[in-house]
Amino acid sequence: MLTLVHNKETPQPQMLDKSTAGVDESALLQRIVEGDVLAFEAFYKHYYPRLFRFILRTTRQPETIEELIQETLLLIWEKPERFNHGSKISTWVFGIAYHKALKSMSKAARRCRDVDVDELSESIGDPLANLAENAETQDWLSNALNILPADQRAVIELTFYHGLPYQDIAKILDCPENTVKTRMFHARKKLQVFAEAQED
Amino acid sequence: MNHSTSRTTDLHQQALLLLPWYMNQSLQPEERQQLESHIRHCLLCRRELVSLRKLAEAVTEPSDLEVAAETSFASLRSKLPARASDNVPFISSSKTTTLGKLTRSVRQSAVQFALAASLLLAIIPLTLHTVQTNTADNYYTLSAARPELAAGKQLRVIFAKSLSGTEVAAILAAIHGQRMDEPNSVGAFTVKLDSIESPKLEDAIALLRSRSDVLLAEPVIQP
Repeated sequence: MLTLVHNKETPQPQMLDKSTAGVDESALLQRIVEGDVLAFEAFYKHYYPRLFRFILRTTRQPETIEELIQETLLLIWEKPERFNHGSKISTWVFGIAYHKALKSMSKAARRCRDVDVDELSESIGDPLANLAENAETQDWLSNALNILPADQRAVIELTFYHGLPYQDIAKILDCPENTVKTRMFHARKKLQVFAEAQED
Repeated sequence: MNHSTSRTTDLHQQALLLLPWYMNQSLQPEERQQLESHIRHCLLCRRELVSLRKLAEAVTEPSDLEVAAETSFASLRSKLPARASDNVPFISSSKTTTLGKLTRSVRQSAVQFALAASLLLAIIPLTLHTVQTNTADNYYTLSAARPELAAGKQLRVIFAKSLSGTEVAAILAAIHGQRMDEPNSVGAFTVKLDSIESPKLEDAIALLRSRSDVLLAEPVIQP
């Protein structure tokens, strides 16, 4: 009978998002409620790298990241009392960031629809050449994530980088828990097809 | 398909859906135990776990963004609006940290805060000017560090995604910079200024920051 070999098939903690260690987010938020700018500064610097990664992975729009991070954290400075203690603080913060990211992507999509197709074609150039260039300059994962919709990229990032349970991810993305699981499932299938195509 | 086979298939489908959260170790104990008992007998799930591990490793590439956080907050600070709950004292009250106590001793009331904020707004432009021009003095920031702390004139740069490789190369040629590595997980390059023709570190940073297609330009600081 086969047995589970722990150093091979069982998970090992690989999540890099250790930034919560040593920071009492709850105490910081309480001080923010009281108007303490220094606490907000600490909160801001604590969340900046995590939001940077999450928004970049979700939107694929580097030019909007700074603005989205500032909008997200500014809302927390202005309305900290909106945190209802029904979830972790990080779940609340990521939820705000996710909705702002979706809005930003929606705006960007509308702008794209307004662009003249011929103009766009000229500015893009040869798609195959661009593909080759991307393959040289970007890592495999970055290319692979490009084929996924934003909601599936968000599930991957929140699961594997931030190490969140699917229940928290459902709250952040404001969807049922089963939807989180199926988004991950479909994302995995697409990534597998992408990986196989790369190997051919 | 008999009832038993159908049930086994259902269990397998459920297990497949949960494997990513088994990998990140966030399942509830009961769910984890049920999954482990399935995995013991399921070769497909064990293969899937190996594949998930590779994906997790690719996603968890480390990032180096602390410097950017510092700069970002500095740019936001002057824009911080007065809070809707202005009736709440500015200082954190009671059981606070040393930092909180220090802050409290400086600012005693909401009125004083209003005055301090007005003064701060008036002083910020002067302060920024001082930071940019007085790098030879003893006042240094992360973006204008002591020369000896800069790691051999290295920069961390993030370009707009719309730039082509040729355009990036042209920008780097303008500062006689040399790319040290591939971009990290957030698209940041490390660039070295080691040519005789290379400008000073601060000049190169100023040049890069003047471009709208450069999202970030920071010196690499040695600890």
